[in-house]
Amino acid sequence: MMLQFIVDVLSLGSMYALFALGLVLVYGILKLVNFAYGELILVIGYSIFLLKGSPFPWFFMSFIAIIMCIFTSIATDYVAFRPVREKSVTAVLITSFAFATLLQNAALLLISAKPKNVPMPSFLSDSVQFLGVITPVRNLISIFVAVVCLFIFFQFMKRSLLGLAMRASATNFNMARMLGIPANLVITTAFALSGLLAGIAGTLWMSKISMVFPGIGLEPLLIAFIATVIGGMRSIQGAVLGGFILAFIDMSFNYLLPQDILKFRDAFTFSFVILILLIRPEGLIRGPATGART
Amino acid sequence: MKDFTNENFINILFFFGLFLLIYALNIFMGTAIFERIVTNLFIYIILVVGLQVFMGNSGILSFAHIGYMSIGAYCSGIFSIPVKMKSMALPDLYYFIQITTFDPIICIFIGGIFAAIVAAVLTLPLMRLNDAAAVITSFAVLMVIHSIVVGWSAVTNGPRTFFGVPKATTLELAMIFSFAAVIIAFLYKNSRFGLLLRATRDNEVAAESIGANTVYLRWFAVIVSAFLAGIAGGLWGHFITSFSPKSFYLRETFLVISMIIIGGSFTVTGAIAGALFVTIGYEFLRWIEKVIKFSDAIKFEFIGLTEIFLSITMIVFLVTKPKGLFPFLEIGEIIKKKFFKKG
Amino acid sequence: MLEVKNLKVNYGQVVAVKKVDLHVAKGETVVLLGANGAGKSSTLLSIAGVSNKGEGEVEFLGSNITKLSPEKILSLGIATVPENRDIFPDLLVEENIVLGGYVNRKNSKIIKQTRNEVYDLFPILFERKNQVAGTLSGGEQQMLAIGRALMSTPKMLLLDEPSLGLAPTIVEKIYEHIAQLKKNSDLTILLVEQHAMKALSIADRVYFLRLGEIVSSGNASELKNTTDFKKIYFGEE
Repeated sequence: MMLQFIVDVLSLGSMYALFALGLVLVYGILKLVNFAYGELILVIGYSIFLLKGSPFPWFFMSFIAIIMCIFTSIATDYVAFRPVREKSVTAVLITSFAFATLLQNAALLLISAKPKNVPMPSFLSDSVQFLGVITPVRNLISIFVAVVCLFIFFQFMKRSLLGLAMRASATNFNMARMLGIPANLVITTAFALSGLLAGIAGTLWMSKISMVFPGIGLEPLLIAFIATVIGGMRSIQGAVLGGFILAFIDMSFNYLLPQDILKFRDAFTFSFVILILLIRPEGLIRGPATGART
Repeated sequence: MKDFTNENFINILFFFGLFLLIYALNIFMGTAIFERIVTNLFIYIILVVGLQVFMGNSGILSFAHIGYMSIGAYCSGIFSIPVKMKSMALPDLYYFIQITTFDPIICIFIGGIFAAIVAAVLTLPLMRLNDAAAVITSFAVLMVIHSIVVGWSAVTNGPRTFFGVPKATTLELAMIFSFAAVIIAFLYKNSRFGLLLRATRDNEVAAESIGANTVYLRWFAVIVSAFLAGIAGGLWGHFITSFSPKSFYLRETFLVISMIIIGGSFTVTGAIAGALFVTIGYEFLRWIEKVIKFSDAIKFEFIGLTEIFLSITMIVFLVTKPKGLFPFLEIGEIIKKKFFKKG
Repeated sequence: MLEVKNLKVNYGQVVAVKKVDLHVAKGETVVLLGANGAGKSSTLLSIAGVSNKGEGEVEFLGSNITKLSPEKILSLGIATVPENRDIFPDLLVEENIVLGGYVNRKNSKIIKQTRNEVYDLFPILFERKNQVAGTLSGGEQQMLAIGRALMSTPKMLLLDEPSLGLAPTIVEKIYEHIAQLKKNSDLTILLVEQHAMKALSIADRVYFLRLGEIVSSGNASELKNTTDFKKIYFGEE
């Protein structure tokens, strides 16, 4: 029972952590919230759906879908961020919200309002049993993929020059630029990585629900929001931690609460978010020392 | 400073004229569809003007507004459904509400007051937040209200359709309320509270140094704003008579935000212009969608086009005209400049 | 080498720099003196491309750099050590140094060489290279900021109040380092200071800035020996 709970939390949390990390990457650099972030999941879902008839193996399809996701993320920058970045925080929130609406309705217009089936390899839903735990293969794969991604990601941020430049930019963007680090490179990299992480997390998400519909982006967006608020809006480690904490909270509610209270789960979690923003606005893990918007 | 009352008067008179004109146009058109559109327009004006009271004067974007609207709509609905109907529509309703029914007009006010109370209780501690944190919490408030509406089946019928609300909203009623909302917004804007709040919007530190208490000023604005949203919700409920939590969610939030952005959030004139502009554009695009659908020219369903246009318009506006159609001056001030300042 | 003409900087409605004209020749050390709020830092940041220039022109090595981005200006050879030092406190000392050499990233030989030079100049940084930069003392942070700027092998260095917030003995040390740096290379320096005596000890020429305007200029050696500068500086006319 205990072990089962841990496996459930870890598999859910690994997905949440990747989602949160993608959101916080952009926020860290620009101090701006990307409301269109959830739509990256929509892109993943519809990309795989549209490739359904193709002769490609599934892994190749999801690879293309992730590439699409990265492109969409960079497009978000060009459409919603760059034109209004200098103006105000609010302007970017609204343009990214508008861009999200645009993508959703494009899906509605060009595809359908009805949920569409997204093909997934069947072995993902097979269940395995070990140490008294019964769990679908996809849960274990989620954990594995997340561990690998997080490892590579943090190595990149620590060891590579570009990674260092990203971290420096998150602390003090103007200073980084005065050292010759190109602003556009850093921002584009942030959006690309954000798209990559959302793409990977989105594929894991798809393997769980196997369908896509125009409003699919909302839930992952909310998850990423809550997780980053819990963990700290400016800290990449905090985002990961926040993802796992949120998964822990969600799972505990699922295990402990009776059905008619479970309906209010979102109300509880969001009240929690409001509380955290009030009591500890910097989240559980404080980000870099300075966080002035540039 | 001396002609504030004077300017209020010109502004209010102008919109009185405009509303009458719209009313006359409706009589002239004489179709049910047009009447529906115009009634909706008046309700939206209340909603957007209500949003302007907070957002325009404080400079903070709020996602929670439609949440307050839903409180108004449900609250007004619950108290006004006839007793016999209630046992059918909401069998699990608490006894004391089950046996009482009020006149819809009273209920609309109850809805507004209730929305204001909820806003007052929920948001006081949030008013010190700025920028992204303020917006995210307002979003969280919307989520909290939404999930309570969805979850509280005994009162709201849960995610299912809430029905049996008596039809009480006529075009005239919506117009009167709308006009009252416009008056409230102007009076508020040029009141001491409004002036001080706008001072905090432009420079918080400087405003506080002359004695403005940002938190309470914003709080008061939210309460007025939520009251108007609640009234709009009640009116809308009594107009449409059946609705579900989905009617008060991100799509509608997007719609009111687009109205205020396109019109310009700093002015009441802008809020009204935005409502007018978006409603006309919306209905026109709807009509195109229909024409395309019935012409058999294209074989697939044509939905979503309206929102796509709206989101593109919004982005274009934020890039080229970030303060909207009426960035600073109210219509009254514009008229005055044009006709009276010559001498 | 650097030519600033009619520069005006404003933040919204607030005018920080009204009108600044100055020039710096190759190999020169020029100091910009002035009281708090005179517009010294704004002038410097504006040359570096961070603050928006309201009006005016900046020329460097004969080309107009007025509208260039900070990263472009650095790659042309102007490195900046800003007022608050602005080291990256969460990164290691070594990582700060490495980032300073970002523009030379394709040439590992130059990187290695300049890194050795920087560590020779500031041995304390070498000792602490694996320490998180935020844990350094104020003086060490100042050295790190200078060392980091040198990593881009600049032709010109913009130094903003290196003495700010440091104890007198530390200020002494920092200025020794700057003097040594001047001796070892033909680096051109534009220095901003409130600490007039200290700055004059290493400067060739001086500009006085008051309320966003250059009010006078002269040779450092001459000025040091007159009492005029006190008058100008403190405004006791």
